[in-house]
Amino acid sequence: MDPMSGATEPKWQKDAADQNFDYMFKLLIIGNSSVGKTSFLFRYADDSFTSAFVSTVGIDFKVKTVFRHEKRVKLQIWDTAGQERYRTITTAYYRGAMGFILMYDITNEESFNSVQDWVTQIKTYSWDNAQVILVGNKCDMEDERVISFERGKQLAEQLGIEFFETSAKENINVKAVFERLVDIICDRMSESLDSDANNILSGQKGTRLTEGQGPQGAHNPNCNC
Amino acid sequence: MTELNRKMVDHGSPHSSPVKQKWVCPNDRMLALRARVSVGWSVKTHELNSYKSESPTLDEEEQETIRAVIKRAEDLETMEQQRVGRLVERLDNMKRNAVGTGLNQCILCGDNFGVLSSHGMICFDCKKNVCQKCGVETYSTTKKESVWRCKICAETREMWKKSGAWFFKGLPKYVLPPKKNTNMTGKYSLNRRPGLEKNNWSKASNMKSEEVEEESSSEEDRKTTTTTTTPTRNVESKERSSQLYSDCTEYESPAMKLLHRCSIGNKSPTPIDSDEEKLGIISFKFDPSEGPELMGSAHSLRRQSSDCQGKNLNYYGDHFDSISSQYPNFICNWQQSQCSLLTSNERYSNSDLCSLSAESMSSGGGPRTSKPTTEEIFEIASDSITNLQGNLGSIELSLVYDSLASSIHVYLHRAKNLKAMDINGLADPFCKLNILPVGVKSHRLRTRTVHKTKNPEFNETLTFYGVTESDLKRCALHIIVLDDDNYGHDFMGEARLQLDILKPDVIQNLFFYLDKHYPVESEEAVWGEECWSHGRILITLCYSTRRKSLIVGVIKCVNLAPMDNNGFSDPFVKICLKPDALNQKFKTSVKWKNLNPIFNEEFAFETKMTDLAMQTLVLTVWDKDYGKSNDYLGCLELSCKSKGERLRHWIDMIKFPDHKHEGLHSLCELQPPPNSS
Repeated sequence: MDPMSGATEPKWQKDAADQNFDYMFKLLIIGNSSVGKTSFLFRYADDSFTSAFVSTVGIDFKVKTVFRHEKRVKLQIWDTAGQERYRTITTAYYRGAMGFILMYDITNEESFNSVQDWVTQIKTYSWDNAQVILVGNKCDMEDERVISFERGKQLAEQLGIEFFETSAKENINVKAVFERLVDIICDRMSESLDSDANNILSGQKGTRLTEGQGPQGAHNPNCNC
Repeated sequence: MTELNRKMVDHGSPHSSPVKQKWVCPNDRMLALRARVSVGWSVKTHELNSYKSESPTLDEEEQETIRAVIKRAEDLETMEQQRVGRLVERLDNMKRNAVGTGLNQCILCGDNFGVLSSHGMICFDCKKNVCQKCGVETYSTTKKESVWRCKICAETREMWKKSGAWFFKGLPKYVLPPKKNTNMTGKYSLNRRPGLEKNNWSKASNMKSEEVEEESSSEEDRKTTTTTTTPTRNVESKERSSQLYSDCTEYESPAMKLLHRCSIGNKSPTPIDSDEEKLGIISFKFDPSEGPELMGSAHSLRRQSSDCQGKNLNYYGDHFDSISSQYPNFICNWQQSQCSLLTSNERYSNSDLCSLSAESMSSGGGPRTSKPTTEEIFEIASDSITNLQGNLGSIELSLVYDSLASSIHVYLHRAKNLKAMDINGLADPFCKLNILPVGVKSHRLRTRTVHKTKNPEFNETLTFYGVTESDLKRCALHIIVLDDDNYGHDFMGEARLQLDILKPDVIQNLFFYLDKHYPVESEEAVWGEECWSHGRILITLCYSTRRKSLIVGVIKCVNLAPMDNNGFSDPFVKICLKPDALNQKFKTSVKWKNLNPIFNEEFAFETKMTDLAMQTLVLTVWDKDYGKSNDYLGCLELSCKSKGERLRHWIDMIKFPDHKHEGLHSLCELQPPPNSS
C-alpha cells in the first residue's frame, strides 16, 4: 500500500476547491531523479514522510494555501519526474511556472553536477521572469555528504539565485524554502507592476495572450504564428 | 511502476512478479557505496548523456496516471479561469459605472471640483482627476513614496496581481461568470475580449441605465447618478479641453487619418503635480481609439516644422501595429531647456533636431531650477516602446569639450541594467562611439569589453580629436552598446546626443536610457565593415513534432567574400548538429560564380526536442574548388550558448515548434573544430 497517496485525497480537494485566496502561484520542483522532490513536496503539503523510493510518473501536483504578508496565496506545486524519459511531459509545464525549486542531493555528486543543465532547461522553457531557488536536500545524511554547504552556496551565487539546504525527512528548512520563494515572487510582482505601469494601463495587451504564445512570441517578427 | 524503478530498488530479484511487488528501499550502505561511484547512478543524468533516438514509450498504466493528473489540473484550471473571469467582470463594472470626465470632475463619481468643494487628486497611473473618496493611497516600493491612484487603476493593478497577468504580461484565459443579461457576454462563453481599453468608461455611455444600476449593486461603493448625460461625455471633454488649451494648434496627418492634437500652453486646467511643475514636462500620449495626441504643458513650445511633426507621427504609425497592444505613454523631462536629445521617440534627422532644439530653447516657459554651474545633469525618461522587450538599460557618461585641443573627451562611467544576451542572463558589453554625421573625419572609438555582466563599469576616457567649435553645432554623438562575441557583435542599445549642449570646458554629466536600434542607411559606413565582412546567411528553423526532427532551411547568403581569381566564389553550405548520435550531415548544392547565392534547400535532422537545448547547429559556408581544398567562407553556430539574435532564434525554435522561424545572421570567420567540417 502506498502511504503517499492514501489519506491525502480529501485534503487536496478541500484545498484545491478553496476559492478564498488572493494570489495563485504555480511552482515547479525539478532536479535529478531520487534527489527527494516528491518527499519534499509531501513534507510541505501533508507533513508526511516515507523513505521508500517511488519514482514519480511524469508529473503530479499538490495545492496548498498559505498566508503570507496578509495575503492568502494559493500554491499549485508541481512535482516532476526527474527521469529523462518523462522530459517531454515535464518541460511542457515549465512555461506556466512562476517559481522553480531546483533540487539536488547533497549525498550525490551527479545530481549536483546536473544543476547547470537544469538551469539551462529553465532558461529555455520557462517564462523569462520565473524565479529559482537552489535546494540541497537530504542534509540530515551528514555522514554521506559529498557536496559541502559552501559548494552549494557558491554555485547559487554564481547563478544569482538563493540557496537552502533542507531535509524532507527531518523537516529542516522545507517551509522556509517555499516561504522564501513566495516572497521572491511577491517582490518580483510589485517590481514588475511598477515597471510595466503603462502596459497595465493600456490593458489591451492582456487579451493578446493566448495559449501557445510565449514570452516574446507575440512580438517576434520571425515567427510565423 | 516502471522497469527502471524496479532495477533501482528491487535488488536481486529480477524475476519478481510485476507491479504489485512490495518495494524495498535501498539500504544505507548501498546508497553510500553508490554515492562514491564517480559514474552517475542517477537515472536522469545517465540517460541525458546518451543520445537515444527514441525514448521508451509510456505504458498503459503510466499514461493513465498522467491522464488523471492532467484531469485534476484541468479542473483546477477551469476554476481559476472562472475566478479570473470574476475579477475581470468586477473591474469592467467599475469602469462602466465611472461617470466623470476626470478633468474638472472626479473620473469615477462625477463630482465637480470647485473652489468650495474638495479639490481632486491626480491618479498616478491614468493622470485623470479623482476625488478623495474615489481614490486610494498606496505605497510604491520603487518610488519610495506613497502615490495616489483612482480606484479603477488601483483595481486594475490588483487584478493584474490576482490573475497572474503581471507574470505573463497579459491576462490569462478566463471565463466570464454567467450573466442575467445575455446580450452582454453570453453564458460561460470562453472569452477573449477586446479588453480593457484606456477609454473604457466612455463605452459606458452606450449602456442602458438599468444595467448600470444592476451592476453597481455588486460591490461598488459608488452610486451611478446621472447616466443620461453620459452619451456625449467623450465629445464634451474634447471640446472642453480644446477650449481650455487656448494656444492649441492643430496638425492633421491625412495619411494616417488619425486625429492628432497638439495642445500647448502654460495654462493647464488641471493642478500639476509639483514634480512635473519643477521639471517642465512634455508628455506624448497615444490613445488607441483617437490616434496620437500630443500634449505639451508647462512649456510653451513652438514648432514651425510640421514636417518634422509628421515624420514623428509616421514613425509612430509604423509602430502602431506592432504596439497596438500597448499604450505608449512616455515623458521627457528636462531640467534645462537647452538640452535636446534624441530618443527613439523622436527620430528626427539631425537637421530636424537642430531646428527643434533651437525652438525649444527660445521658448523658456517652464520655471528654471538649475543654476549655471560647471556641472549640469540631464535625464531622459525611457519610452515604453522599448519596454516591450524590456528596458534596454541606461548609460552614464561625462562629456567635456576641450577648446584648446579642439577635442571632445568622453568619460564613460558605466551602463546599467543592460539587456541579457546569453542564456545565463548576462552579456559581454562594450561601447562604440561615433560622431555623426559620418564622412568628414573618421571618428570611431570603442571601449574595452567588460565580460559577463549587465552592469559594466567602463571607467574609460575616449577622445575625439579635431572637433571645432562649429562642429559642435551640427554634430551628434552616437553611442551604441554591443555584445562582444566571436560570432559577431550584437546590438544591445544605442543613444544619440546632440553636441550643441556642450559649452567649452564645461563638464556635462549625462545619464540616459538606451534605445532600440534605429536602422540607418549604409550601416557599414557608420560602424565599419568588420561586422559584416564575411557576409550573412538567411536560414529558417522549424522543429517538426510530427517528424521529430529539426528542419533547417538554407535560403540564401549575401555578400560572401570572393575567393577565386575571377572575383567570385562557388559557395555551398555544410550543416551539422553537434553532438549528434546519428552523425547527420548535409550540404547544399554548389552555386557557381555567385557571391549572393540563393539555395532554398531544406534539411531534416532527426533529434529529440529535449536534446535541442544541448545541441549546436553548425553551418559552414565553403567555396568549392577542384584540385585543391575548398576555401572557407564563414560559419554560423546556433545553440543555447549563442547570444543575442542567434540565441533568440534558437530558443524561439524550441519554444514554438511547428512554426518556421526565419533569421538573418552574420557569418563569422572563426572556423569550427575540424571534426565538423
